Amino acid sequence: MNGVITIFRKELRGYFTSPIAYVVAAVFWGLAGFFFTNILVRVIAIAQQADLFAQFGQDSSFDAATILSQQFLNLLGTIFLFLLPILTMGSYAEERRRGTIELLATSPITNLAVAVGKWLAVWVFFITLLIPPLVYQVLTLSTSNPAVDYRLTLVGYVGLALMAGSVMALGLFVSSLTDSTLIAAVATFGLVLLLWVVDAAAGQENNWIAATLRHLSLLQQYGNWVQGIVSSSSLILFLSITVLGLFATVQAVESLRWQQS
Amino acid sequence: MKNGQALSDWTGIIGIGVIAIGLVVGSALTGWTAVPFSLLAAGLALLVFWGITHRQQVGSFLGLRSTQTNANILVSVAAMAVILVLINVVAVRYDARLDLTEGGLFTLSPQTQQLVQGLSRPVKVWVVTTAPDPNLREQLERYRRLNPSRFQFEFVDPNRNPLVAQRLQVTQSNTLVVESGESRQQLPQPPAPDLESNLTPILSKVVNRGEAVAYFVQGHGEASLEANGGTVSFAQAVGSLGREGYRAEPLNLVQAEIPEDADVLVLAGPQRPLFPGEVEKLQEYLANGGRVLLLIGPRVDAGLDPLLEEWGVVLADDIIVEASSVSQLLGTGPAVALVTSYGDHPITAPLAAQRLMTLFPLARSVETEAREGIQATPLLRTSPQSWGETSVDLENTPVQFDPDRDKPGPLTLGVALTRSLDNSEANAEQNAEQNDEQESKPREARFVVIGNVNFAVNGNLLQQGNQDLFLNTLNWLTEQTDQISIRPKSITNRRLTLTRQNLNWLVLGSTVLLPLLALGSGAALWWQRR
Repeated sequence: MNGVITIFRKELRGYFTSPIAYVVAAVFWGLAGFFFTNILVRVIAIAQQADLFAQFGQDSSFDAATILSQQFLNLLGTIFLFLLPILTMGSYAEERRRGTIELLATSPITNLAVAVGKWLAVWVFFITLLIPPLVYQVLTLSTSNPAVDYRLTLVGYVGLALMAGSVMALGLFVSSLTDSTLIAAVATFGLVLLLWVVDAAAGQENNWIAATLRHLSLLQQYGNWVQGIVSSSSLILFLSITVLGLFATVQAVESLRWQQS
Repeated sequence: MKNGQALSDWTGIIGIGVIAIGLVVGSALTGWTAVPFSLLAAGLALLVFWGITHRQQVGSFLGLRSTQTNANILVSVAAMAVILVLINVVAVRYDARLDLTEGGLFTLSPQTQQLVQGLSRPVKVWVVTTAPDPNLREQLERYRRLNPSRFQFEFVDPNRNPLVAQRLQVTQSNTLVVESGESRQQLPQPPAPDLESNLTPILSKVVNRGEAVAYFVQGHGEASLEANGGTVSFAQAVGSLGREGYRAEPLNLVQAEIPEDADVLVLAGPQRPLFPGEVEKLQEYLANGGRVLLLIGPRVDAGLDPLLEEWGVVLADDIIVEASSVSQLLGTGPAVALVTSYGDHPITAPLAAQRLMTLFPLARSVETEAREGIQATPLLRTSPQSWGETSVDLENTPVQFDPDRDKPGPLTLGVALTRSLDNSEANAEQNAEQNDEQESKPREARFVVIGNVNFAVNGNLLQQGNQDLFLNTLNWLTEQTDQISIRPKSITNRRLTLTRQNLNWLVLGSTVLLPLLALGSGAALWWQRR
């Protein structure tokens, strides 16, 4: 446990003192802000149109607050598809390149503690990135009339955090396989993209293979959270991918020790 | 060089990935065409390339000291994966869901749950669509989870599976077909929040009813049920009945009794009088709680007087002439009666709600006289500018309203009549055949008379609201009014009340200040380090 905390502290300090992390933050906040205001303006325009139709007695039910939340959260998910691999690409690849991985592998801290510490650090950094968008989203939703149920928004963010956690565990694993950060980022991106759209391969089939592919699709699972449906199976899927990623990372580092010696 | 080495390291894994994609594409997506085969070939080539560039490693793999541990690692990762897969299989099977949306937008209503869980026989929902909606799949999946052994659904692409689409009689994409045994009914794909309120009643209908049988009386010059050449037929009507879950059968009353399984009898456009025996059969059928639809045009004596007299229906000896401006606008001519005003009745309520017009080429007006125990409701009313023309020689005299002889509009063109069965013996007998839920309902005979037959024949049926009128009439006659009614899940009407100033601050803060803050801190950090 102490090992986890030590690694976590060191890694987190690394994120907050590395220029790359700040560039990632700037890019993410810029994109998120741009899309948020864009969606907001569009939603307001549609609402005005609906009000206009209402004057002619037509049905004009339009939930501006919920549409804004859902579209924005879906968008955050897509942006992170591109940004998360950059956050995790260096975790092990950089250590391998510098040769510090041998120190890690032979240190008294177990490989598992290292992996969990690294994962926890990048996860916490990611959550700090999420705070400003969450704040301005909630500020915007506070002007909603009638008032909106904030639990829905919160559930969406929890889903995002869980999905990001599993993506980052996979990123750590890929990073542990190579000493090139570039390859780590690209391969992680490819892997996550595959998991993102894997349901497309299921087509319109209705057999167990198609059902499995659809279940594996991160996009579908995350989409459910965004809509406000919390299902135990998607929670377990996210946790399973996280555990598998971390476990495989530990094993990969383990094998490295044998290859080196 | 190092990078080149690293890249060739990856060809193996990429090759495996490409092969996997090829397998998935081939087995699930396109079938075994050139695309998955070329993917497989490409993946194999990559693997071979990897094997050649790594022949040393491959060759010495078995002799390496680390082989033992590598194998151990592989086994442990695989074991972990298997455990996690098993956990996920169990998790999917025993999935618990929490629906946080307002009004439970994604939760099926108790009525639906009860219906689907208690399905008496298997039912399948076909979705014929070229662009499957994942949201719809999710919704149908919720139905399926309630009763996986009885409720099935399948998505069908009509372009790739034209035979299935043809068997289901689907002509338009985005159509849902509910099928159970022989009975089948289709509906256009409703918007997501309305799916349950549309699908569940139809599900109940298809499962609980089976196929309804409509007998078309033949033998007096009625139009045929099949299309043959250019002659007038009911082929389209039969087709649309089929899609509603009816089977249409011809019936000759001279040769045969009215079959036991008749749900409704249609006497559509007789040209010659029925024999007295036939009329008696009809009267007897109605007296025992039968259901009859009579479509009859002007200037025809069908010999039905005893029956009509009994029910208090008077077929006027006229032809409805339409002189309203709408008629001129449509260019339909004066002999086509237009109906835009409907009686207050389940048959016509949907038409009135949708403001649908119905067209009746060559129609006669229908009047009713009061009879004890019989309740008559006028269904269709022509415009005030119409009248009932009674002059005999229409071809040679100019058509003009003659206040002395002609009947002024608006005229009634169709009536729906009901008579409850007083005969308690027949009542009890009928009730025994009915299932429990309908037992409390009083049995009644139902009779609809429309002074026109042309609205339902090929070419006219699909005009305006004609088809709806025809199908609604049969559905009412056979008591296929929906037992279950589920209100569509409503969306809360919400507005964001940001002021202009708030919005400006938001734009400035989120798109400019925040990223600048991050960049500034990064730059400061970099400067400090330098």
